[in-house]
Amino acid sequence: MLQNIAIGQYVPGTSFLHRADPRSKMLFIILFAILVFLANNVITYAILIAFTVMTVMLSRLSLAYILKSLRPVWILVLFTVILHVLITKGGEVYFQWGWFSIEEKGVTQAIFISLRVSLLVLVSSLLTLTTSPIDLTEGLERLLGPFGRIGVPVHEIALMMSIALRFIPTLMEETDKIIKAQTARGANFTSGNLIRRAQNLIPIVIPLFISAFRRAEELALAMEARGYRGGVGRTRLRTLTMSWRDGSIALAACVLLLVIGWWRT
Amino acid sequence: MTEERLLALQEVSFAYEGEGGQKETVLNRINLDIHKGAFVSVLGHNGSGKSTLAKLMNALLLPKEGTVLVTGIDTRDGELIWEVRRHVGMVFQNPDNQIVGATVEDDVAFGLENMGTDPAEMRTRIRESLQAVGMEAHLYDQPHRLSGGQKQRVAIAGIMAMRPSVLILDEATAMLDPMGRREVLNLARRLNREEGITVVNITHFPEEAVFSDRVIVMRAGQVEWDGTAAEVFADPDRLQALGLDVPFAVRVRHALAAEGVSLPFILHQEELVEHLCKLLLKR
Amino acid sequence: MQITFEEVSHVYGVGTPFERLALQDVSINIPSGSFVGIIGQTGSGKSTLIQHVNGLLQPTKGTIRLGDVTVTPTRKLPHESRRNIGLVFQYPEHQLFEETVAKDVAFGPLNFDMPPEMAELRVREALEIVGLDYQEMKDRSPFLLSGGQMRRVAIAGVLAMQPKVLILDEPTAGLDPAGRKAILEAIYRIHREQSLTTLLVTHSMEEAARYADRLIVMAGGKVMLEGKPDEVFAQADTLRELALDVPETVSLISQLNRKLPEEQRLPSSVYREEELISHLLARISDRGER
Repeated sequence: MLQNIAIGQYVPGTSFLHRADPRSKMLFIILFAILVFLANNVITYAILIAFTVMTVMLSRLSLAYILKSLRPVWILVLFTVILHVLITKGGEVYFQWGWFSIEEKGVTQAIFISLRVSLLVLVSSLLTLTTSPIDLTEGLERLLGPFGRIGVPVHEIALMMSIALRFIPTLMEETDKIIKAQTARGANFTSGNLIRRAQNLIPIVIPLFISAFRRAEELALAMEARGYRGGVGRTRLRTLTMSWRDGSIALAACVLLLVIGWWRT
Repeated sequence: MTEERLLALQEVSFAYEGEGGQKETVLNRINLDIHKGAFVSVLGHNGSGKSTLAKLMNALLLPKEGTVLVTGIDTRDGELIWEVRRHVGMVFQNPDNQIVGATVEDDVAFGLENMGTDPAEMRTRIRESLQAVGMEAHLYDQPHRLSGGQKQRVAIAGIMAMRPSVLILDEATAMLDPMGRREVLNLARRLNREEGITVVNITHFPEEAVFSDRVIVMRAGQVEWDGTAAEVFADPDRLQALGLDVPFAVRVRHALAAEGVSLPFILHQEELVEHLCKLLLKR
Repeated sequence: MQITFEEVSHVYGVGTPFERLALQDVSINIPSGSFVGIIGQTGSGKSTLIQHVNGLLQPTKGTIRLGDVTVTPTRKLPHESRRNIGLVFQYPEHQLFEETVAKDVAFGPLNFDMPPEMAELRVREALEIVGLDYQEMKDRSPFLLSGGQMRRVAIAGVLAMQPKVLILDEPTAGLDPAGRKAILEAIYRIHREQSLTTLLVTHSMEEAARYADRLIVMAGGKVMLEGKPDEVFAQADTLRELALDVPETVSLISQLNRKLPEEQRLPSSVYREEELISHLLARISDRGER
């Protein structure tokens, strides 16, 4: 039941996108987000859609699979579409029935907004789909590296992220086990009003917290025993290297920026 | 052959600050020498101080009184503490709570990264140490997909990669199933024999102690007994009084002796079979 | 309470890429009042099996009868029935959550709408069964106890519901010899005194040999062997194929019998240590007299 929350979960592979440096992928997404908000007419959106389709092809993942893995997001998009169609008024009236009307502005607004969200989600999900969580953490640590000089604990943040990644499956199993153990003792998690239900969670939440603290304490001891003393003087197994792929990503970014800048109105 | 002293505890005492500030003595004036290449088992029931002893050996705890020397380095020498921890590797009880890396490879690398090892050198060492523990096929696996025994072997690989002198197993088999326990113990014995690693195995399974060169029995913060496995297991009553088990063969011999049937001292089942056969076939 | 499984199968994650067959056509019959040892490697289906007995999991196929209640893929175990079937998970101390020992042990009884005075009585009894003093323990925080004590409190939390069936998943894991013995002896005592039906999942053949009167050996989601301990231990080859041990007593006898002439062999049905020793003594004194 807990496995179902894997939105954009990493799919191992060897495609162009899989092998590109996580740093260039992350930087590109930031730029892409800006471009999506700069786009404001049919031509610019068409360019972005074409580009997104091309990127999906570069990932060698099936579009159907990606769309399916993003199912919760589509519900959100659909909701926004309905909301805009109903609320935004102006322009030609397409349909009217009492106070209820669908008007031109609402429809165009809904199309643009949903396009924006869809493009953004699609492209950023490609990042997590083609980059292992470890490489993501690694890339983030390197990208944020310069902030270390102004006192941001970059190494610690990255280490926290990677330990969290390591322990998520363990803690999920543990949650499942505690729920079962309390159910076996007659606990009921599905009845009663909201307050009652919140109270019913106590027998799960407290053991989980205690266990997480115990694990943290033991892990800290084990890390110390293995000579951990913070980021100073530490080397890394994983080294990130830029390649021609990252050069082409940069080039694509520049071209896209120029094209969108030229065609937007 | 000259025996090199690898670990030395001299008059070591340790106390925890209990509830309400009073001191709870955990270890009381311990004197121990552990020589290079030895396989030492430390037996004791829960609360006998055996885990504290282990943590003193790699400077996770520092003695309140007395001195702990690791290859001649005083563990209280703050500048050399990392050297001490490189020399003395420790495997803990809970396999889940000592793996740091999100993959086997990353986890074995953790200690090396801390030491500032060059990445190319790291890869060689990771490969070698995973081969030594028989886990090379799992290089890219996620830890939570491994069995308990496999996780402990990964933990041992992470330590072996740091080229230590001593491997301390702090009840490292307590949470494993029999198969996992065998895996880990056989591995420790092989590393001791083939790589010359000194092993200190802290345990309450007497079957594990049978194979060691030396057995140390702890009781209420003191060394109750220190000798060969044969010496220590020769007195099952005394061990049982300490809440400890003895191996099956020793138990059977002892029960027979109580009824007036005496057998020579034995530790292993094969010896027991042999002696019983002689006795039963004797005319 | 009699427990019967008829061709029970269980599949995890039906319809997902993670689909996994965990139980396959399991048919077993556990007579009321028996003490059953369930043995198998990690991942052999033991945990899945016991979770079916108290309705935490429902069969994908097949029928389970618990006394006069029937569980099928479409019919759940009623909430009230769960009280009759106590399940102690592995490392049960990890489920403690209340401020005091007494409150934690009372959690189960109160969930089943037992009046508070009655619950208190049950708590007192349960703590005493596991060898803890009620007056001394009741107001203490469970989190400040030793590991062995926490384990006992957790077991008391299940006993306080006064189940008719007691299921324990490796109740001695991680304890020292003294702690292991204390817990098993307490379980064995209450099993006899209250004529419970007890299911003990264990990795230790020694524990199984000492306490169980029936054994179930599982591998790959199937029941491989089932029967009285001597019947199961007689299948040493099958056990070895499944990478399981036989108790040391059994392996000693089989090694001796291989070397002894036919008329001198020890009975292979012996598996308890005391019994083995008295057999050995009898043989040895026989020899002496002749």
